[in-house]
Amino acid sequence: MAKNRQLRTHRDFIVPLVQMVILFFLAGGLFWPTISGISSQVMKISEIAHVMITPIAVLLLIYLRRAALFNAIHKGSFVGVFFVLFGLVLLAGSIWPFSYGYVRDLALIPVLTGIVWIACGRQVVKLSTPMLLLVMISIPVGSRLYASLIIRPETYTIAATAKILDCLPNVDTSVRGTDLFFSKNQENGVVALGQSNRGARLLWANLTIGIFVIFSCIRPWPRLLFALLATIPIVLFCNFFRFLSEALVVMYSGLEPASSVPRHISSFISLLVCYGLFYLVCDLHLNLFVEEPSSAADAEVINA
Amino acid sequence: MHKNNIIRPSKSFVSASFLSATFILFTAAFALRPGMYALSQYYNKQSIDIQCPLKNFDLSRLPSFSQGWEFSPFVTPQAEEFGTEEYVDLMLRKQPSDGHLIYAIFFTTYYNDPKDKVPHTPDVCSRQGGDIVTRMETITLDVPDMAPDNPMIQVRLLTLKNPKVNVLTLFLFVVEGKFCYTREQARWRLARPGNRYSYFSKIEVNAVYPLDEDPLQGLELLKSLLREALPILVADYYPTKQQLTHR
Repeated sequence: MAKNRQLRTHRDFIVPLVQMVILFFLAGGLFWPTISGISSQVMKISEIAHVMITPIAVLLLIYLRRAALFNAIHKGSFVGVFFVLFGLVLLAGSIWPFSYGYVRDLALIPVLTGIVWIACGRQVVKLSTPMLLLVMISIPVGSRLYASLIIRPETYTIAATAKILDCLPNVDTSVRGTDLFFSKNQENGVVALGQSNRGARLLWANLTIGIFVIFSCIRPWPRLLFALLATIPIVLFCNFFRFLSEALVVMYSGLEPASSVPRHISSFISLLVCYGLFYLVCDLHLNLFVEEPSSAADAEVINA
Repeated sequence: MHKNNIIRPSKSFVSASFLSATFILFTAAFALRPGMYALSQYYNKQSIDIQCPLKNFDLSRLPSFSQGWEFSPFVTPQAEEFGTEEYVDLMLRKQPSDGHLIYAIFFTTYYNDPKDKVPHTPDVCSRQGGDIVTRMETITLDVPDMAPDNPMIQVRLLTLKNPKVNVLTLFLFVVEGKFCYTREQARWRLARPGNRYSYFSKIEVNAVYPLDEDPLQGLELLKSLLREALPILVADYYPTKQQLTHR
């Protein structure tokens, strides 16, 4: 590996980079409706606000993995072309005959994978998986599809929150649909009044944080697997925590029912909790993971 | 690692894979979307009218409901939101000699504009109306009258709870003669090329019970309702396979 590193020159780095820029530019033209569609939604829908930080997160991951990425650059192969073709078939098929907007947007991912493979080879694709995952998560799911997918998480989250609030002194709750009503000391109110997806918001934002924290270092496989298995429970817990904290702020702050302050406070706190939990899962030294590597290079060696 | 064994990055801009990808992406950027949209226009399905208006649907034709049941139109304030004028919404009532009043609702819509969107299913829209989904699963309904093509049909079962009543709901879609039980299945079926004409229908049956009673007691009632109504709808109301493919 060390010898390999010594043999690298700037040209080894520049040619793949230029190739990638050219191919990304062409892919950008092909997927312009997707890119512009997502950009226009970001400013309107707070639910997908995490998309704004996705480019920064991707660049930061590239920076954090720069040494490993640079060393992994190899001659690209034709396998990448097949990925590009697969993406194009997906895109074409989702225009006609199967008109699915979400799949049309998702076709970007195999095309990006193919481009990286063509320019830099398989090892770089492997190291770029988290960045590709972040881009994939930043593609918004259609509202109707999302509404049908979140029925169970939303129902359970609201029911669990109601149960916890019922344990508080002088508090009674009732659930109607997705509305959580409460009465506290003869004062009545509703949690998350008028918010869409009130019981299941920011799932994608939490997932983005999780992916970023988990892959911010190159970790050994057992740790990676442990963190990935913990991802869905953490995301769901943070969603529950967000709703519970919003309910508590609404109940005890005395703010106007339609005020956005409880939503902002609970969102901020839950995102912090999410970051903390993922950090804990990734960096907590348990006996389960004996002899963990002290550096990314060591982890690479172990994974190899 | 020996120097000769190291796979070096390409130092040339003109590798075969890069040139191929450039050509493919360049061509796709200009031609793929317009080409596929042109294809979708060319093969656009056309609308087809229902054979008989759904408003004429007569529940008294169903053997299990021909005696002892009263039918009345179920007046819903959201009728304009159905997105179609072709629908039937009937309330069924029965007063057994040894029990309380039994309520059921039979609701069917028919859409034939290829631009019509497949509507929300009760599991999604009932929650907006204040219901809580307490059970959600797919069950198999035996429909002997539709053998040999469709003797067993999968339908979606929901139990809903609101502050006043418990509701049991069974629903399914009929899309160009095929049966689906989710919105995504219906969309997939609608998108499949082949037929010249297109239609889809949502069939929903509900039974209403007091809060202190288990709504699943109405399952056999709703199964009977669907089992007897589906063959009539398919045979007398929906367009036939020949009508759909006729060019």
